[in-house]
Amino acid sequence: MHRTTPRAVRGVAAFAAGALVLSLAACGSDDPAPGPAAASATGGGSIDVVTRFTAGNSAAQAQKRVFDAFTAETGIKINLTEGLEAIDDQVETAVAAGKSPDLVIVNLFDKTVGWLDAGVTVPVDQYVKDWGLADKMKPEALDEWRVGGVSGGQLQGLPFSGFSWPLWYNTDLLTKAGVTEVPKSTDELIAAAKKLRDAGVGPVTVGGNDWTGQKLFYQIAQSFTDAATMQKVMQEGGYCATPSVLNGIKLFTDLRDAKVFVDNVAGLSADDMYASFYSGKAAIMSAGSWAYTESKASGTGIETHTTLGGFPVPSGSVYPKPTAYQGFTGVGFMITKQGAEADKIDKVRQLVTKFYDQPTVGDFVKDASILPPVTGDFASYATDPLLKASLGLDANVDYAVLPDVWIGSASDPITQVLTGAYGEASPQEICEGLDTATKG
Amino acid sequence: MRKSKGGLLATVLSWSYALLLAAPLYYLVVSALKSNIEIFTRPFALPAQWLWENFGTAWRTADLGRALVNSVLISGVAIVVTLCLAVPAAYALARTDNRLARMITGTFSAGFLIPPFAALIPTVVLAIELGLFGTREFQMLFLPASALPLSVLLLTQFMRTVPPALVESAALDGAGHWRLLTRVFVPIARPGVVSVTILQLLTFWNEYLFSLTITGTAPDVRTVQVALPTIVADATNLGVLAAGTVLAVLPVYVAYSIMNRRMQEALTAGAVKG
Repeated sequence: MHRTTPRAVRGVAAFAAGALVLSLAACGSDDPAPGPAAASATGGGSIDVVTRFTAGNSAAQAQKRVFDAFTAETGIKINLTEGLEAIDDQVETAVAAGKSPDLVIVNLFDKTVGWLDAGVTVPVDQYVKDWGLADKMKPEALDEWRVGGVSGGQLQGLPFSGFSWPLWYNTDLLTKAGVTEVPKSTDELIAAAKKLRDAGVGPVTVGGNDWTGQKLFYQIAQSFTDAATMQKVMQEGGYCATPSVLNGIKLFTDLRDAKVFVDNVAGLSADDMYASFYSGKAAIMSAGSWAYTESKASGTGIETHTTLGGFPVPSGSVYPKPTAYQGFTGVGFMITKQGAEADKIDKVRQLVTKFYDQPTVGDFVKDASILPPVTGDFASYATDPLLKASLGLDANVDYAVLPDVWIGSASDPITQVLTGAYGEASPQEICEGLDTATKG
Repeated sequence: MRKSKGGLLATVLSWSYALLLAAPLYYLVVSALKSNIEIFTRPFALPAQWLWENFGTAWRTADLGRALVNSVLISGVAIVVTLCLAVPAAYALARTDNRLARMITGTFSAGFLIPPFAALIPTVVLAIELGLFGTREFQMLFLPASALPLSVLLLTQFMRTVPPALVESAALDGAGHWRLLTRVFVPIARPGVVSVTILQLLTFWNEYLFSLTITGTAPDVRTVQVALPTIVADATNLGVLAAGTVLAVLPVYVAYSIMNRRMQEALTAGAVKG
């Protein structure tokens, strides 16, 4: 899961453009005229790629090394376009304009979840077998990219960038505040938050107005609900009508009202969260493995006194251990209809399979702390101390249901509702808002 | 004594206003030299460690060199096209006072009523139909079209200040439309031309929505406004982003400084001419 804060206005506008243009193009022709990029690809051996690993991303350098090596080995040129926050809209508009890329390196989130249905991309089940990846790839990684998230569903793309998403505890600050152990229950968390506040330290920091806040909310809200029910509610709604989910939402507001979160949390973004945790202003944050590299780069030495764990659970929770997320819905490869055409698919194969070479995956593990989507020993590449610690998380946490695939395109309106949840909204207001956002 | 108190108050208010305007610029520039931690923990303080390398990192990471060239090219061509179309149109409207002219002026005014978002979808479709989607050339043509209403109306007002006697005198000397336009109207309306140039240059330079949606993010065509967000990531280095923003703003600031005197003339032109 990699996602930056959406800009609503631009997003709405770009969405409108993409949606209408897609429908116009669909009415006009089934075979959009190839653009200049496509023409050059046909004649001169090139491939058009749109990537979410933009220049500022910690994986950008590793990606560049793959592209450079690929071009040097095959002579195939890569026409690279960087996808910004609205990468889904960018690609949809390009497809409508007859300038479809061949390959999109993107998260499985929001509108990309619907690309297979919309005919933007093609299923990759057969490619995984034909390209010799079936035995290499972790079945759980593949399942997350299947329609419906189940093993029988069509494969929407090839997962690449897996992640773990634990709670980060600054042990120095906890000790300073008199908290001797990382809290494991919500009661312990409330007590720890009080001690931290008394010591002048913020407790849990999170981006209350963006995707980080959304994920933490769901982590707490599903405390009393089994995975299957939670997935159904996320997909279809029923937050108010499902007692266990409503109890989870009440737990969230109880924690909020007990001042477990830092002050003014509803106005914070992911960047605020990182900065306040790295600078020692807050003792606990919820952040994914992609932040390991950046935490070290902050130069504060935070990585040396951080313990990774889960979010504390209440009594009666369906999860015996504190919860964290892990998943493979981070960046993966989606092949467009154009990329699947006879003159393109072999070039796509050569590029995609290169990403799954052991040294290449290792390079991404080292640079961007990704969780490998393929089996193999990557311990030697996990030089980051937090990544090393992260590999041992399984023993200490239970994994909650990550909402991305299930909430789909309702993600942005849900985040808006949850900003209110981090403010003063009541459980009833929150569940009604979520139901409305889910049902569109 | 009363006058001096008033003068003091005016001075204080002026400086306060100037500081108010300068504060965001100061914040931007000092942020460009800081780490993320410092930006959040000591937002208005001078950097504890001056990270000049942020500028180099921003330049390389977002490939700002190429993006700046694209922005200069698009803005430059667009401003030339805008003036080439708006000046003759304004001349014609300024010299004609009949129902048709008023109707045309009204049509240009109606251009203000169309919000950019409403024009986005038809514009995307137009770009696709013209085969210019994903090209700089479309922006070079589209930006002048979007700028014409304001440009024509402003220039028309400036050109209406040309004394009729002067026009008649030039006409008696045998000046045709071209000579009247270039030797009489444009020199007198020069503050207006400069004013339109600066206003539209700023608009073109800062345009984001259409550049992102239509021109796109490919490195060979993207503008600086579209290149900058490529620095944004899940954990953005905000110092580098601020440095990139400074680099993106700098050319406009330089252009404004060069034309500053003309701009002041333009802004005070109405008062002088009564």
